[in-house]
Amino acid sequence: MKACNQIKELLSLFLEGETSPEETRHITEHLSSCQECKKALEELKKTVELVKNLDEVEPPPFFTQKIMAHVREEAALSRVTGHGSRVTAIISKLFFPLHIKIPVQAFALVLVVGLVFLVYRSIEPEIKLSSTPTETAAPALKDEVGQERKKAIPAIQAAPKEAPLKGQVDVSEPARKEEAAVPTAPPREKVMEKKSEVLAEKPSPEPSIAFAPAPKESAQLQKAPAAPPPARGAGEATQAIDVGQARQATEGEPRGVASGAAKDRMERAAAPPARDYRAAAKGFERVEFVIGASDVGSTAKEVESLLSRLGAREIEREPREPGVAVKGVVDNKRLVELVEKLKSLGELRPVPAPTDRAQGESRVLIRIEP
Amino acid sequence: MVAMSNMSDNRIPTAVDADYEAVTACQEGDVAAFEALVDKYQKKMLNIAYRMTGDYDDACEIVQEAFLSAYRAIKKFRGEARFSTWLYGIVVNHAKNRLKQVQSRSFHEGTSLDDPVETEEGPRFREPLSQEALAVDELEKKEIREKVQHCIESLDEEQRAVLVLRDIQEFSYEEIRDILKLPDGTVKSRLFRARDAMKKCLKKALGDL
Repeated sequence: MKACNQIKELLSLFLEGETSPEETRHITEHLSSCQECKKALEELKKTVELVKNLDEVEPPPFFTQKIMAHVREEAALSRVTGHGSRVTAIISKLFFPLHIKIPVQAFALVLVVGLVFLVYRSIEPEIKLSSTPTETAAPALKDEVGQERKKAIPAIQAAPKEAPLKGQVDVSEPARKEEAAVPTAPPREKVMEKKSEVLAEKPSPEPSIAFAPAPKESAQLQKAPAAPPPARGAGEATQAIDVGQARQATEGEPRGVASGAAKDRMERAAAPPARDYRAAAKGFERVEFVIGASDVGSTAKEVESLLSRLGAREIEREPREPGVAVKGVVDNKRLVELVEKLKSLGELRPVPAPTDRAQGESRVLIRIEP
Repeated sequence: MVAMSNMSDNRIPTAVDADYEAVTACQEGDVAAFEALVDKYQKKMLNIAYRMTGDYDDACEIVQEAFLSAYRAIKKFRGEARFSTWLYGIVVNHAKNRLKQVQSRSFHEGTSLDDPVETEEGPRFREPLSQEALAVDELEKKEIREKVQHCIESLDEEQRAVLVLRDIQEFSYEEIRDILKLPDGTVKSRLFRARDAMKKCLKKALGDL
């Protein structure tokens, strides 16, 4: 019985000739003597035959087309997905290797900034030269007051003297507009340099408010044509002065200086700036004094004679509301003496500290006000 | 696929696989090449699926799914076996999965008309209707075929797969081993059990063999 079970297990393979020769011989011997196993083999053969006799089924019509419709749909989908993944790949290429992208982008940024700085530096002298007269018109920051004033003085002195030079004016005009449009244009390092010098000369500077009212004036300057015809320029300047006076009236005593300065600027705006920047280029220092005097006219004469005694050049007197202004170019060595003498003429405000500058000259503006 | 020189030992040489060029074209995105493969293998695929499931419509769906799976995976086909073997493996797996789903559904929903009726004697089958018009000979053959098919369906999925592949599709043991990814011994023992179960089933269904 046990032998029959073993034989029956092998019959499946025996049927197909898959048994080893020894197994085949053993099975054949057993089958000749065992009817049960012989019957089992016959049943197995019949079973396999029945199974093999099963008909093949035919695919439905257009089965390939149906399958391919699904496949093509899938292919189209995968193309879209593939496209999407390409987009993703591009995005990831743009953003993902941050350890590469960030330094590269940072370097590019630095390069651009450097380039802009270089370009700015290359055109800076032109801006500086052409815009010097209007620099004071730019919005005055508190720490730039000294610089503003230094620039103002030579401009005041130069303006009335110089005849309008068309060429220079033409050059300066667009530059001035540019200056007005970009009020922070003046190079800061130079401002700081000069500021420190002026502060050394004048430890008690005027209240910064004196030069503060820039925005309106700046706007006014933009309108005021600096170029000829002179008559029109003068008219504009007068208008500007009127604005300055109106401010003085409304803003009180501290604005007195401011209005004068504003007026100066207006005048400079109306006049050709040629001499101004020449003076600035020579490195003149500008010093401004205000003397309170009861008799403006006689005090002005005394100031003029004082200046001439001190060897000043380019002495001039001009009406300056609410009094007169005398200006000139004085050797720095004589500045201390000038201050001492001015003190004796009237109430000097502010009282400048004696300068220790031994060389060069200063443009001095002495305003005599009642 | 790669060149023969790069093939590992267990790979089928490309020269042996008649589908090498078509498969390579498919891998490069040639849908028309895939269509040729579908045309070539659809019938055999359908017959495997049909004999395993016993349902023609199910078999058609299984074949469609199998070809779709094959298309999706064809770039991963590296020629370890023949393409046809790989394809038959896919359809057998899909058929097995379908059977599991059906069994799970019928377990939850109850029996269907097609299910074998379990009796004390074992599975027997509902009498097919409208047989009167058919000739007796044809009637008998048809009846026998249906009973054989029902007996196949009474086997478990693993036995069914081996029986269908060996006795119906007549694949070699080696091919079956590759399709089912089973050791030789397992294929042989499963086939023995499948045949034995079929014999018992058919004896009950047909009375005598």
